[in-house]
Amino acid sequence: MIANEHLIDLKGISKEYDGTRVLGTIDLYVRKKEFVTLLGPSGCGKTTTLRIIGGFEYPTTGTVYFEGKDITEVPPYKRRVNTVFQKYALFPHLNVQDNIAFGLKIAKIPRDEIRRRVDRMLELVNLKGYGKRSVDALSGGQQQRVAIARALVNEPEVLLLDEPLGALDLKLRKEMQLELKSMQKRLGITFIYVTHDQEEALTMSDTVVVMRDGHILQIGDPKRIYDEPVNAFVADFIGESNILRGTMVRDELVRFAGNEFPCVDAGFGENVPVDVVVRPEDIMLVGEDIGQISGVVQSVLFKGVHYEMMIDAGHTVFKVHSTVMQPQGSRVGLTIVPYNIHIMKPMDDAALRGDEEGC
Amino acid sequence: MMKWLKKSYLALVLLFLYLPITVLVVQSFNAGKSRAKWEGFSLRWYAELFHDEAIMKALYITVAIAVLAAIIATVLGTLAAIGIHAMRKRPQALMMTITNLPMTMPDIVTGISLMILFTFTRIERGFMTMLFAHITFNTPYVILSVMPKLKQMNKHTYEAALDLGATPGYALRHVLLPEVREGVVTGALLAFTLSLDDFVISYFTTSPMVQNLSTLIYSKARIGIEPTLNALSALMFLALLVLLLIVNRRASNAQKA
Amino acid sequence: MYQTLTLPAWAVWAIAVAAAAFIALCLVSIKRNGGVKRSYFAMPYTLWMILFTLVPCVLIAYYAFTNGGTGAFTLDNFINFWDSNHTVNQMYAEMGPEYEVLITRGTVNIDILIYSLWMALLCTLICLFLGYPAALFMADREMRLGATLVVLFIIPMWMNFLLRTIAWMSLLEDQGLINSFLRALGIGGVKLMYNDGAVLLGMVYNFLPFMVFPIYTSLNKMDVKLLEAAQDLGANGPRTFVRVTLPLSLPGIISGITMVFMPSVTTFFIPRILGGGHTMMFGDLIESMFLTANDWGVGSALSLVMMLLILLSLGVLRKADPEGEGGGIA
Repeated sequence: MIANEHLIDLKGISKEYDGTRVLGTIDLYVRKKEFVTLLGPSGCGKTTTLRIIGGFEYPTTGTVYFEGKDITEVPPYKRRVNTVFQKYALFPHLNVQDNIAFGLKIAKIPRDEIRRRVDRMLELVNLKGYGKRSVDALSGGQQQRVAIARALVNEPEVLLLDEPLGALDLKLRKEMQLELKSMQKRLGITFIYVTHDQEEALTMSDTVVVMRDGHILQIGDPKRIYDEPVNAFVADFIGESNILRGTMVRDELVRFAGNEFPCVDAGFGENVPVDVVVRPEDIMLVGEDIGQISGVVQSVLFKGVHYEMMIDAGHTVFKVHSTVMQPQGSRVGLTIVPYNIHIMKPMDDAALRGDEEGC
Repeated sequence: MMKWLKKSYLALVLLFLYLPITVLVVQSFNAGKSRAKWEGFSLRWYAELFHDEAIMKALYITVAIAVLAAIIATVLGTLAAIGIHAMRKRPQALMMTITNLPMTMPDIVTGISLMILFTFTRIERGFMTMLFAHITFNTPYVILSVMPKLKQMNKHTYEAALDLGATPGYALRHVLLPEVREGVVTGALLAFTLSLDDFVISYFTTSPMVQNLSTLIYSKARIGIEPTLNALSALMFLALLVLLLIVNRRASNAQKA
Repeated sequence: MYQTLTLPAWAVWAIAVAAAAFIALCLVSIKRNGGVKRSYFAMPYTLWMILFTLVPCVLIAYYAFTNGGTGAFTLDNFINFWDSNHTVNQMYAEMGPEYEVLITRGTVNIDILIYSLWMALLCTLICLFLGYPAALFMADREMRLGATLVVLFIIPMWMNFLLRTIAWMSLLEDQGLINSFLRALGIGGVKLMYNDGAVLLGMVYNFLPFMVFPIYTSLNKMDVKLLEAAQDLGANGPRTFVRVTLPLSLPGIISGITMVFMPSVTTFFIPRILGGGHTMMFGDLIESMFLTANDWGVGSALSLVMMLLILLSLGVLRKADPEGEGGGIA
């Protein structure tokens, strides 16, 4: 990787508040025009990382580079980075167009130019004709658009978004996800996006950074993170999964739930304890006698597209997603194909539960 | 029946509160100097008031101190409230304790401690020392008026301004201040009226040469108050009432707009 | 004597070094944070409060614990507070055993303290019993008088407090309005001025609004549905009051007691005008120590005792109202 391809480079960043470490030492780079999502439960350090990039917090240790230059202690108003804040933080005493024009006025842009650019932005976020409205009179979704317009009008190199869709309802959130993604592609701006919603992260991002307790657990594209989580925590956080204790019998053979399963992983050694992750949609329900193991359907829940069934296989209860419903109480066989079994080094118990303390 | 009883109880309490004030105002219109005997209606004391040099000087000092102290305390207190609001928990708690300290301290102790300070540093007591003392006891009230407005604000608004290129000074003037304006006005008015009415702290921090109305009244209390002072306080009372009405009108207009 | 008294050189140095360190620290952190931190807006105020609140408090403590002449550490000022004859008693003790009979403890200061506390307690109780019904009726939702009455209670406070107190003289004097009225009715004159009753009246008059406002605020915040629920559950009028209204207004009561009791202990001026200077309260005592007796050591000791008492009573009241939701004049 060539160094100057990196737009932003975080090197050895950590942050402490009153002696409490909220961000472990992390290294992260962001490339030009990339859509990067920082994903993790609350208190994982994702917002702190974003605020360090924005210049609202200075790291306790480490350096922030922007196009190769050290900007660690450059105040936010001198950074070519703009932010869309949680709950928008619009200026309540200004109307929509004055909110959007705020940064341009400070930059001493001529008035005609300001008007032109504000109008173009209003159009971009589908708020044409709303310029004179008070921001308090807007709905949550509209306020959201104003916040985005207010940041984008300054033509920043990087747009930081701190849980921007958190306050919207589900339907609006889905719409805005698509809109944000297409906006990012059209404008060719780097987005750094913070969320605790794994689905949002997977739909929108080029790169997902999974964080926990101030550390980065995994960096990768959405598909890789989903298919090959590095540990049980990532697996559990990214989508639903069955996480089981197992033993690696030898290469390509693992034992869990009272049975031996062929798999594709190797190199763990022989008879070592491992964590096994199986996605609920990767378990196939077959006839009672032809499955690798069998179990009784404990409960059935209709989830819209599929059914979620809990199946008691004697030693273990599996969560299974299937479009075909099996009646409660019936016996079924379960089959898992080798490449759908993910083997990971075991994590301790506390780590699995993922204690959720505030930031 | 119950309602009638309740209303008459309230009326009695109000009578208790307004009785001395009524007496005071009536005396100011009394032609004679006697406190108890009515000798006919006259505006004599109101006319004499403007020729009484001691009273006019005290009035000037009182108003000058109240205006200056209110302005400085408002600037100091508003900045402080913004700063304290942005602090982390522990320093914030410390600052609030320091802010509450002069408010829980008896006035007399505040006054005496400042008197000791000025004597100790050999600063001659007078106008400046009284002004400093008034700023000291006013500022906490400004902070307590501005703080609730800050708490209502979105905590990222200030950062949003910086993010859009505003320097801290610009963000303060164009974003923070407009949002807390109401609290600032309340605080300034509170500071002004407190300063206008203060006696105890002024008493200890000024010299007999520089007197405000309260200390002037105090020095005359033993030998007898002239009705001119009653006339003056009736006028000031009226002025304050008008001021309040204007502020209230403005506030309700602003709400409608 | 006191005008020329200065701190020892080491103390001056310590203050100078501390101030320099504070300013340096401020500059360094401003540089490091590029002015992003809003908390720096509080710096002028912090500096101001250190200069005009903390330093004066330290000075009071300094004078309370040192000898006025030599500046050496001593507890004499507090002993003088306990025994106002202390200096004379020491002389008698030195003069030999035959003089020991003359040694008596001077209880003046303690007597004044107890008298002040007693008067403040009476004033607080009277304010509570007068003010609670007033606040209750103000908060009566059927009458809808609350907002108007709040204004009516505030307005008298704009009249200069000294003049208002003096105005009571015109009412209470032997030749005053009340006595003239009584005489006109054929009842003989009554001695109303220059006694404890007059002082108490002046205090209640001045502090009553500070009892009414917090109680009114807490009653006004109360949910009407609670009262309806209580009635729905079968509680009658008085029982609703005792079981629901009163406990819910407790934070207001506590806040009112704080706001009346604390300033009334140090009442100054009222005893002098309405009590005719025959009685003294703690505030007058402190003032006379500084301005008349010119004994700053004992005066400072008295101020410290006063502050300690206030902090103590605040602590007790805080315990009774841990959330501090009583509120003030809001």
